[in-house]
Amino acid sequence: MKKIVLIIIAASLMTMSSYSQEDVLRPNGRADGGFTKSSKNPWAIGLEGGLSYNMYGADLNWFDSFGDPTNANSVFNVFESFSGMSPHFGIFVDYDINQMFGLHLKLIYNSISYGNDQDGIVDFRDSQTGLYLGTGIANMEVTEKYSFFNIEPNLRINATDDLYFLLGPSFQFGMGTQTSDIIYTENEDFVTYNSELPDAGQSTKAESASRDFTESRIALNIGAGYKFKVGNNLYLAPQLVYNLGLTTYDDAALENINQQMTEGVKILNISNQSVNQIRLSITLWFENL
Amino acid sequence: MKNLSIYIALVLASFSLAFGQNVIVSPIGVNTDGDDFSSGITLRANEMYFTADKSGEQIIYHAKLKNGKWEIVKKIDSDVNSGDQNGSATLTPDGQYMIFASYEHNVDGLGRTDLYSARKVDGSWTDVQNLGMAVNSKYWDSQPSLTSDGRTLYFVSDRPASSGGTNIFYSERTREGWSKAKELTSVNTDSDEMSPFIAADNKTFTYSSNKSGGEGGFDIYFAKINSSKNAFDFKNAGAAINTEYDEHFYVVAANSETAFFSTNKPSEKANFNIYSAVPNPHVAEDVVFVHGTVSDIDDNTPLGSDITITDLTNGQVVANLRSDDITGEYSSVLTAGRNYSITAEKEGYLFYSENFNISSSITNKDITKDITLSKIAKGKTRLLIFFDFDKSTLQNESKPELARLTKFMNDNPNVKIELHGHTDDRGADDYNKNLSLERAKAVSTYLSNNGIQSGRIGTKGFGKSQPLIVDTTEEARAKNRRVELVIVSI
Repeated sequence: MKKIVLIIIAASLMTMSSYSQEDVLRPNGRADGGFTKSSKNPWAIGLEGGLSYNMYGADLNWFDSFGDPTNANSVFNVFESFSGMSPHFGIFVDYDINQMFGLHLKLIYNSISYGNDQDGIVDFRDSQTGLYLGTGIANMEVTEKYSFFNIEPNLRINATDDLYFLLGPSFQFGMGTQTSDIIYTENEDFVTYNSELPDAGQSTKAESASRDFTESRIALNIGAGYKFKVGNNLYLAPQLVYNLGLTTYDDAALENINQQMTEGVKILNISNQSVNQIRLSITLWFENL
Repeated sequence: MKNLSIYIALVLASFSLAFGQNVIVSPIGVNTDGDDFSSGITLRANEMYFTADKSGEQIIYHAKLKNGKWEIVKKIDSDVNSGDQNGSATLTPDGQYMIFASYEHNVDGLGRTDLYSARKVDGSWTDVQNLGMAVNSKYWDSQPSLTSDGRTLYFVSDRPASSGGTNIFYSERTREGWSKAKELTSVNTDSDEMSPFIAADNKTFTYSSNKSGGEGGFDIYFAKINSSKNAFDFKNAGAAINTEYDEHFYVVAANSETAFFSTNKPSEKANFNIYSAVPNPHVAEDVVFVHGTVSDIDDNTPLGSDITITDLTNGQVVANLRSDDITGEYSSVLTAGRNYSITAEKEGYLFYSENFNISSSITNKDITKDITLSKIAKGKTRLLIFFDFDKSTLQNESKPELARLTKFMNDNPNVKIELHGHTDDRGADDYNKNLSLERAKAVSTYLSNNGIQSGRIGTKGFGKSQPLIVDTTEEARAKNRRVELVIVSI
């Protein structure tokens, strides 16, 4: 992946040097590169807001008591994937390098929310002794919320005057509080022995946890937008960005993550957690200010 | 020895015939330290709107010919130059309407460089408008050249076309606006064709191309073009004009031996410079200038007015002009051997019209027609239309004038008029009085049939009692067989 990114950036930089601004005499600008000023004021500022579709994923591997890979119909399989929608908003500064390329710096408040629920088998243990008593059917519903402050310096590549592509890193810094909610729901003939599960006579048990969120990660933005002129020096651009996580995301808030646990004689290992986003935004561009 | 001298003289004479006179190519006085190109000249070649490129910003400058030398007057200080890059101006013969190219102009564009129009009002260029989707595209559209009748626009675009590179397109002015641009297929090649220019005769065509076979870079090519937009008789301008560098914008001044072009061949000044070529090796047919001044009949104040020239032979409007708001001057190009009517209109003034003929054998190619306009006021009189001998039927040639009168009545709904009929000196008084009244009534009936209330129109017949010209020549008699318009209330 890194190689592909480097190739794209290198190709862009090589192409950049061969383009210059058009004028009334030359459709492709001066052959010598000439001047690079591409507008009366190459700077633009803007606002961005929209919705993100968040996708959490992880590799779940089950082992038996001998350490051999196996399968399990565990309620903890819910940790394999989460998804959800959440808002994001921010500001950006855009600078025309030349007719074809520009720099597009975003500062984004990026809220992330996702969740999932799944039926499966859970262990019953004696709450006093911890002894394994047996298995039963339950449902586990997980919801996770946290936020990043993103700094995203993108390279803008103009396909036409209106259509552009974005490519660049996304540096994401955790901020505020991370909350996680887990709700267990017992099967109607389920007999409670486990302190983590609902008490006898109750059908559900909810657990909430929160903590300061200071994780950081790096992702790659690949996106496109199309500008519509809505007024003098004012443009509206729907924009679609795929935010691909490049660093592994360790979600410490999720229960049993990166820990071994048993389901009967089975052991779960969770690894390679990742969070990716598809961000659909409306951007408002103020140009030639 | 004598035979050898004769032989050498014959050879030299042959070369002289073959290559014509020596063309003197020299830079003109407007060139700056930056690029200078695209000399959009006015019809009388005494004003020039050229493009100067200083520090990467192209701007349209105005230059005037003073005492035989070109001098920069100033850059156009108006909305015209508000784009990032502005230039390549072309003007109508009256110098009152400009089409130019601009990149990232303040006025909305359709894509990259687009073509825009501007009007000269009170001495300033204003009312900048994009020429719209029929002409412009999301691609690079530039380098316009208007025919002298303002009805056809040639320009260059790098939009997809049947030929590669940049190509020359044309669009024609219709009642609905500019027609959808078409490729000038007879000129375009897979190389780059650029900087088209159509001379005042609307037949002599020049352009530049980097196609193979030239002197190198972009070369100037000459051609003729017919009314079907088929170009023919192509030839390279040759080594007198073309070099191994780039030559563009070969502009032929009307009724003149001078042409202008732009080249980036090495010189003391940077890059592109504008040169004159004398004598112009690609001569255009002489045209007939019709020009003059529009002014107030009472105080001689110059007036900006809308002028229409109609070819009475086929009823087609051949020129829509505007006289300069400051000087009142106008000018146009017309074809000899036809009858025309010229009309001037201005709000608050009675419209003016006159029929005239340009003989096919005319030797004076410079016709002056000064126009005076009367304010709309009670008692104001103007000539309207003329009649054949002993006839009160309206002539076909009077239809444009009658249409203008109808428009005048509609535009001024409170105005009441009287139509005064007259005859020439032949015939009995009673007969002529009746004939003159019939002539006035013929005009009145036309107006009524076209929706003007009959209560606003009075008629009188004066017979032969008030001749316009007291003479018995056929020309004088034709002038006297007329109907005049008199305003009786406003």
